Amino acid sequence: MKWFAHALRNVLRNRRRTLMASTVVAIGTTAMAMTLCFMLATFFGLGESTIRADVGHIQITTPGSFDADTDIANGLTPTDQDHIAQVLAGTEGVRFSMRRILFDGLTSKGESTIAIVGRGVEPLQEMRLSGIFAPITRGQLMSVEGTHFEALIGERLAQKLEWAPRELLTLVGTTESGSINAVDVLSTGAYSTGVPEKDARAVMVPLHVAAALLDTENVSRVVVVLDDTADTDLVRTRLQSALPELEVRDWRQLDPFYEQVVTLYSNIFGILCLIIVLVVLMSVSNTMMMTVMERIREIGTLRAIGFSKFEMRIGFSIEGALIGLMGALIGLALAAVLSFAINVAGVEMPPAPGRTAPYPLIFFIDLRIYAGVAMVMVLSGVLGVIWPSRKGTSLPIVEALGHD
Amino acid sequence: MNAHSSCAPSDVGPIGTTFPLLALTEIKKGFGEGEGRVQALDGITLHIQSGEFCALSGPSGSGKSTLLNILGLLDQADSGSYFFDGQTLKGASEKTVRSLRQKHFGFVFQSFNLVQTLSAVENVEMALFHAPMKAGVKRKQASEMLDLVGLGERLNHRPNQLSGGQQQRVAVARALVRQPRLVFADEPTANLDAASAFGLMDLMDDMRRQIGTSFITSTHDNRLMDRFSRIISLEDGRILP
Repeated sequence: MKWFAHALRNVLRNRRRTLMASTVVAIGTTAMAMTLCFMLATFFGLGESTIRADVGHIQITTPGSFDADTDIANGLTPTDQDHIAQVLAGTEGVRFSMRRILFDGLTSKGESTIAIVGRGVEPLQEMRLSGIFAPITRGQLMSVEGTHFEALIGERLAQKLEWAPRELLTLVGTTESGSINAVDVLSTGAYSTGVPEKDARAVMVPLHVAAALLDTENVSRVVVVLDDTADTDLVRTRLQSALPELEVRDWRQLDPFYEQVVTLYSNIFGILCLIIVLVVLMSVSNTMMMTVMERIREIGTLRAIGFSKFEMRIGFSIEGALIGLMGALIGLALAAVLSFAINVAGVEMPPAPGRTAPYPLIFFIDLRIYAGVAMVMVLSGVLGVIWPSRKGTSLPIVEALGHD
Repeated sequence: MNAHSSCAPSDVGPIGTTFPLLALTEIKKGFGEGEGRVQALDGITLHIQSGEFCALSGPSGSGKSTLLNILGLLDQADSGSYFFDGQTLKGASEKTVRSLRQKHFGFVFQSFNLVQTLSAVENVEMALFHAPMKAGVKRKQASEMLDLVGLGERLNHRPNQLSGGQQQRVAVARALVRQPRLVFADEPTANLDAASAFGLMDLMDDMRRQIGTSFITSTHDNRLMDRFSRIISLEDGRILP
């Protein structure tokens, strides 16, 4: 305690040196905390947008069907669907579920015929997942009851078809038994998935329309939505145990893009944080070197009256830790204020690669990250002092006493 | 052999039944290598008794400061023996030497060497840092010692708020607060005016009488010589007879 009090007194009374070192630590802290919080917000936002866009938290289908989406003959039979519904009803953390039919086919309007990737959905449930589940660019959403022969088409597909709202389109597909089948649908609107390549082939119809087109009672997948994304692993494990004959995957497995982004960003931000720590470390070390050199005579005097080198180094280490802590607290306060201001200002970032929509620049104010950064900065303060204090206390006492 | 090495007690000399407080025999110390080597101390044998008020005198370069550093265990001799209170320091650990300096030695430096960020009383308290006593007791003792050296009204002044003479008094208080058996003062009056210098000498003599501490003071100020009970004259690293 007396060492702490002594170090605290030195830190508080050497205002100029403390201010210099703490400023460097504070800037580093702000940069690191905001970087990590931005990263966290990005991961969270990306994850939730992946889930909310259409993937859901968990999907269930027959083995192998995740890699052969449109093989409806091997899809989930009505028996499977009932069994899944029973299991989901008894599983804690499940909010709701919905069925989907995925299919390939063609659509034609007049002379134009274009290959499509279709999806049969339960509009009401899709709306519960995504809000306006298909961001409409033109026309209007199809009826949420899903009882009419309606469709939504991707914006790029609409452009290719020279489409106008409420035009009739013909969808052509292959039935479960392998025959060619066609249905006419009223296309109520065009929408954007946010991914231009998808928009060029996307068609969305009510589930019963897709079932009629494919002449099937099977569905491709059951999509499960949870109360809390954090429960994904737990619920997936439970569902897989309860449905051993089926395949259960979570949103991270279904959309590898998320993991790729996480890996990429983690590496980039990791290197960035390492650079910040190194800069802080070197700056603290440099400042403390000046501090120690200014205090060589003091070191000699204290050693003459009985202080050991080790004790002197402990004292300097505590000073380093205190400078780190003070800088960290100032830096974190600054980070919190800046983050709040930017969040409130609603700054938008340009669309990510492969996306069409801008996304908001958000910085989380995450106490775990703040605590971690503070610890790193305190540690940097201590580490930054090691070399200067070793150098300063290694001088013979007589030499230190004669130091100018 | 270094300053902490020893010879048998009989080598110390005819000490009778009482050991000298501090004894050196054949201490040698040089600096540099080859032709540039300077022999600062060349076979110093010396006894210091309790309560002595000694001056180390001699011209610049005579070895006063080097001898004082070796006496104060701040530096090591190249050869010779060192006894404190009849005990050899041969092979003594750094910890033992440090403990001796903490408990039994005090130091007063030419440039005062006060910690600039600490107040007068805090500077004095630093000498009690390792003392096994409560903080309040340390503060009380430091305050009393400052009062004793005439700075009872300046307890919370920083060094830069004190005159040179006052700063040196703080340094004396720091040296004496643990009631050491020996105080080593290296040119303590060199940076003081005449009045302050005489005042400091009086103070040190008073302290010696009150506390019983021995003082060994290096000085080349002839005006002060009659204040000392013993003068050890050095020249070219040897004690003049």
